[in-house]
Amino acid sequence: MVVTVRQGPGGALVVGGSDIARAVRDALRAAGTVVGEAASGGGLAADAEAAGIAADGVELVVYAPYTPGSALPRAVVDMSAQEWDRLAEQPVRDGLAALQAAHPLLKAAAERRGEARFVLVAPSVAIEGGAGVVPLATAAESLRALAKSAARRWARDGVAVHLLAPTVFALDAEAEALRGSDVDRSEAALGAEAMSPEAVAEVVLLLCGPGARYLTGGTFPLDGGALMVP
Amino acid sequence: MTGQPESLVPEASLAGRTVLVTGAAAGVGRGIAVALAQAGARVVVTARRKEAGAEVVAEIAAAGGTADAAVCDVTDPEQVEAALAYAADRFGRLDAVVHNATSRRSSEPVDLEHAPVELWDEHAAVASVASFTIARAAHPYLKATEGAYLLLTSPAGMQGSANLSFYAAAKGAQRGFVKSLAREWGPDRIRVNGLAPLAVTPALDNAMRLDPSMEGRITDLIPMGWIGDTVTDIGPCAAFLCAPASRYVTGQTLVVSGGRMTAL
Repeated sequence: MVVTVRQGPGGALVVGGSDIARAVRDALRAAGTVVGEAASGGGLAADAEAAGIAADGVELVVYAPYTPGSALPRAVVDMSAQEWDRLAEQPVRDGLAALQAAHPLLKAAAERRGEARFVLVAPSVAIEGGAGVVPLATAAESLRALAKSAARRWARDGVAVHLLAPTVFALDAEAEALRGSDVDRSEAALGAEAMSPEAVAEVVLLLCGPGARYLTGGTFPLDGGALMVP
Repeated sequence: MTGQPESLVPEASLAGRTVLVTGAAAGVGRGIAVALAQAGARVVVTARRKEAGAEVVAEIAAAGGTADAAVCDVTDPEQVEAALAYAADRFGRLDAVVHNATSRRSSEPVDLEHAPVELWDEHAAVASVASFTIARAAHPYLKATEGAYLLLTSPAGMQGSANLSFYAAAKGAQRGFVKSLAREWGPDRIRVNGLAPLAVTPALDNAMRLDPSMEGRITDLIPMGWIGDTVTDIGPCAAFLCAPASRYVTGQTLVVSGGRMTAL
């Protein structure tokens, strides 16, 4: 699929090792954005500096993590406390660190440019639920609530928060293990291509445009028209 | 609300069934425990201190109900397992678990941008981590009775909260947990649901005493015009979700807020 070139933000940080994070980085660069990469959210200021982005130049932070193993189906009753912590709790701690590290950068950019954005990517399966992915869904819904709280707090700083909920199959190839399971039950009205990582990246660019100026805290399911709620 | 009846639960809807409630010494947990007993359930009232639960047991017994107390700090897996085993042994079966306990720091405003991760861990330990611990330990009991697992959540978990951001995230986690576990446990005929109440808790009652105008500001936002009572407004809904009457309801969150939240 060819990504349409749009005018992106001046500087952006993309956090995470998911397929979506890689597609977002490519799309932003194609749109002329200086993009910094980060494996985790804790040291975003240093990541921006390493990418040559000015201290007040981070206009966008995209947080698109994937915890290895989280899309491999497993039953709660068979899970150890350590596994639960790694798959359900640590992702929320990491997300909190990303939000806390992103806020001063985005606030500084908003003071200069008038607006800045944080985009959280969390799988849509958490919204509907799925057998075998309880820790993944628990972490995702916790992060969505945390991001909504940030949206309420950061609006006064000119920082918007958007939540993208793509199908889990766009997050990582590992999710193919869920094909044919309870998670793989909704038919996408627009077909599989509408759920690719590149399609998610297109929406990130859309949310960087002026048309998104009055949006914050909303969740956009990117599942090719499978869920269709609310 | 004035002039409300003492009990609004269908009598005997939980007759012969056993329900364990966490964090049941006060507030919403106490209200649910009392209502469950009114519906005929044998209630195991759990709290971190046994004497705290004993007060609610005495209240239930004085009204003609059946209850017992057990110690259960939900952050301690051994205590969780022991409380569940005690409930099943004491009354011969366990039909439902209501996970109501919440962090003691739930109502504290949080500076999201600077709050330490240790504070988040305190919230999560009683919410998502305990939900997992209880689920894993309760599964064999609930599978045997085709029972129910009910988790207390909140509208804040769906809408976020500027001041209670960690509480919101903890309750959001509960909703994600409910929906996915409901699908996972459906084949075992165990129902998993959420309840999101708006009720007068001891903390809110104290706050309203300190600020007499607060109650009016809150009730102005509630179409029904009053703040829910834990026994007569919240408890019956919990009893319904624990009872066979809701045997075809799973993966849902019932918002009990007098119409305050209608967006779900």
